[in-house]
Amino acid sequence: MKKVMLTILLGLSYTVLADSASKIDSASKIDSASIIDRAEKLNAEARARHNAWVPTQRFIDQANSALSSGDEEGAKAAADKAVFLAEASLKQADVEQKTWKQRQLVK
Amino acid sequence: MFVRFLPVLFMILSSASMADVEADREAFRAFYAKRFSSIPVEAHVDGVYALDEAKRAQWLEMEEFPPYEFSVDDGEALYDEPFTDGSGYGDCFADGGAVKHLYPRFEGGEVVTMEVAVNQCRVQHGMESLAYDSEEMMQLTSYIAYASRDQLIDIKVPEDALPAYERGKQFYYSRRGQLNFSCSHCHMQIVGSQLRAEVLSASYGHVTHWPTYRLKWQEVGSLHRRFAECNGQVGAEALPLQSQPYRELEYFLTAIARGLLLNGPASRK
Repeated sequence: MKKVMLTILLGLSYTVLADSASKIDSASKIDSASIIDRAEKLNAEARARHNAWVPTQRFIDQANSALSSGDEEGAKAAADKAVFLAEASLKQADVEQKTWKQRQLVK
Repeated sequence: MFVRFLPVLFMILSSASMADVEADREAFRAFYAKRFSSIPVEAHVDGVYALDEAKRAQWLEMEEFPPYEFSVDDGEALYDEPFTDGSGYGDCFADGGAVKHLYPRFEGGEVVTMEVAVNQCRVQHGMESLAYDSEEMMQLTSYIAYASRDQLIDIKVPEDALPAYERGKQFYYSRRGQLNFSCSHCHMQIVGSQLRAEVLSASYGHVTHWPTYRLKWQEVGSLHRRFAECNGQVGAEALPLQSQPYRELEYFLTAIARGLLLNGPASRK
C-alpha cells in the first residue's frame, strides 16, 4: 500500500514539476522575445535620428538567432546588450543636441 | 511702426547669418594655419600628403600614372553621349562640365550635390537615374571633376540655406557611434596624429578632390562613400549615399572651403 501511495505521489510531483518547468520555459521565451522587440524599437528610433550604432543590430541579430535555436539564456543576454546599446545611442543623440556647440570653432 | 522696420531687421539678421558662414571659414583657416604653421593653409587640399613628406613622395609617384585616368576617359565618353531625346549633359551643365566649383548648391529647398544634379539632368531629359555608387556615376563625376580642375570653390549659402548649413555643421561636430567620436575629434582635435599606420588629415580641403581612387577600395568612389566609411569606423551606422545629412555635411565642408583649388579626381591610400 505504501509503495502504491509513493508511486502516485511521485507521479503527481512529476506532473506538477513538468507543468511548472513548461510555464517557466514559456515565460522566459516571452521575456526574451519582448526584450528583442524593445531593442528593435529603440534601435529604429535611433536610426530615425541618424544615430544608430553598428553593434546594436549585431546583438539583435544574435538574440534572434539564439531564440530561434532555443537558446533562451543566450537570446536574453544578447537582447539585453542590444537594449543597453540602443538606449546609449539615443542618450548620445539627446546630449549632442546641445553639446556639439561647445566644440565649434570660434575666431 | 514695427512693420516699417521689418525689412531693416531682416537685412541685419541676414547679413549676420552670412557673416557666420564667413566667420566659420575664417576660423577653420586660422585653426589649421596655427596647428600646422609650417604648411600653407591651402596645401591641405592634398590631405594627408600635405602633412607627411614620405607619404607625399609615394603619392606623387602614384600620380604619375593616375589610377583614375580610365574613369575620367570613360566619363568623358558618357558625358558626350546624347540622351534619347537628343539632348545631353551639355544642356544642363555649362563650360563642358567645368562646374564642380559651384556645387553643392541650394535649390528647391534642398542641397543639390554634383551627383544629385547629374541625376536631375538625366530625369529631366527622360533618362533613368543612376545609382549613386554605380560605375557610370563615378565615371561621369570623375570627368566633371577633371574638367573643373584648378577652379576655385565658389559656392553660395543663401539665407534660406542656412538651416541646412547649420545641420551640416551640427553633424560635423556631433559625437556619434559607440566610440563616441565626432568628425571634429579626428580632423581637428587630434589632426596630424597617427592612428595605426594612418595620419589624420585636416577637414579644410577634404572636399576638393572627389571622386577619388582609393587603393583600399581598388576603384573610384565618392565623398559620401568616405563619409559612410568614417561613420562605420567609429561604430556608427552609415547613412545612405546622398541622404540629406550627408548632403548637408558636404555643403558645410564645401562652404568653409570656399576659395580652395579643386584638384579632383585624386588618388589616396
